[in-house]
Amino acid sequence: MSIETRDPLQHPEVQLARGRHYVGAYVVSLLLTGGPLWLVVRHLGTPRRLMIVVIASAAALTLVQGYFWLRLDFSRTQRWMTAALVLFIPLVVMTIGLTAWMFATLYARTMIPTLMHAPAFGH
Amino acid sequence: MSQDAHVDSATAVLWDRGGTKHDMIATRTFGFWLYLLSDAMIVSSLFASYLVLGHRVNAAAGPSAGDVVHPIAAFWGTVLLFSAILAYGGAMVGLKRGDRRAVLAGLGGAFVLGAGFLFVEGRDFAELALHGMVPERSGYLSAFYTLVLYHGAHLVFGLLWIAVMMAQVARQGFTANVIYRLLNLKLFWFFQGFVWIYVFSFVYLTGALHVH
Repeated sequence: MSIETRDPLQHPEVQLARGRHYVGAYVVSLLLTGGPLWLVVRHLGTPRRLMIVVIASAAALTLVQGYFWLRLDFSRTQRWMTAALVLFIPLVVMTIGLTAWMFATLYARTMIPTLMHAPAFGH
Repeated sequence: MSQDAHVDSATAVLWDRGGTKHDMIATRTFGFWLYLLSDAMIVSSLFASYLVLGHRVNAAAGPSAGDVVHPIAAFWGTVLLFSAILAYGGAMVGLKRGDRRAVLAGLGGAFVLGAGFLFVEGRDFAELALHGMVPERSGYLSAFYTLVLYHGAHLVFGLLWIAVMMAQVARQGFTANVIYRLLNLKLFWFFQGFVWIYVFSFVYLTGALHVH
């Protein structure tokens, strides 16, 4: 955050670019989206198992793109960006998780009888 | 604490009027990163709304996720979006070398591929609208349109920003101001891929799990 350079092209954030990392993350990203798509479209598994695959692939994609594309690591150049993202994650989990929890209980208490046995967030 | 330690508010110097030597580029990219995270909080709220309105009662006896999402079309959009990000990565590699032509080529590629993504998405939504699946049809459709098109609106803005940066790179070269803007645009553009992971996974793929 406090590194001085005279030539802006020599700035550490400019020098972060790595062609191999970008290409590698691109290939892995396509595999991690194409694989679950194939499983879902072909119905290869129960909905519960497929949901676990989708969640796992999204988590893996987050790590791959976060590290190889956004270069979020603990280097001197990037550590505060990484820290900001890490501190941001609980806010997201609370926003989505607490909203889902509140409405799940609301639906359970207020739905008309025929809908009470429907999954809270199913279709 | 002794009385000698008393601070005279009339003469005390509470800050350095000369300023400190902050790294201009890093300060601006970090500030923009915090802005992106606050933008992502809006996306989180939209995901929360989508989750809540995914209950079948909110479909108002109309189409639900299984009828609305087209995961294969969304995958082709994914390929285009990730390719647009890779093209921008190529521009960043060119910037590292100080190669203006490579930067312009990378930005141009990102623009074309990003526009391709919007074309695929636009065609998908036009088809939905033709079949009467419009936002006002139900709470579920309102949430679906808002979440997916919020991401699409970012892409539109990104294309405009890319066009502006192409002009600035061509006219001004690699000044410090142009470079921090390119770095901020990199964060913005790459972050759209990050958001799309969740839209693709939790709207399109999980939606396709509920085909009737």
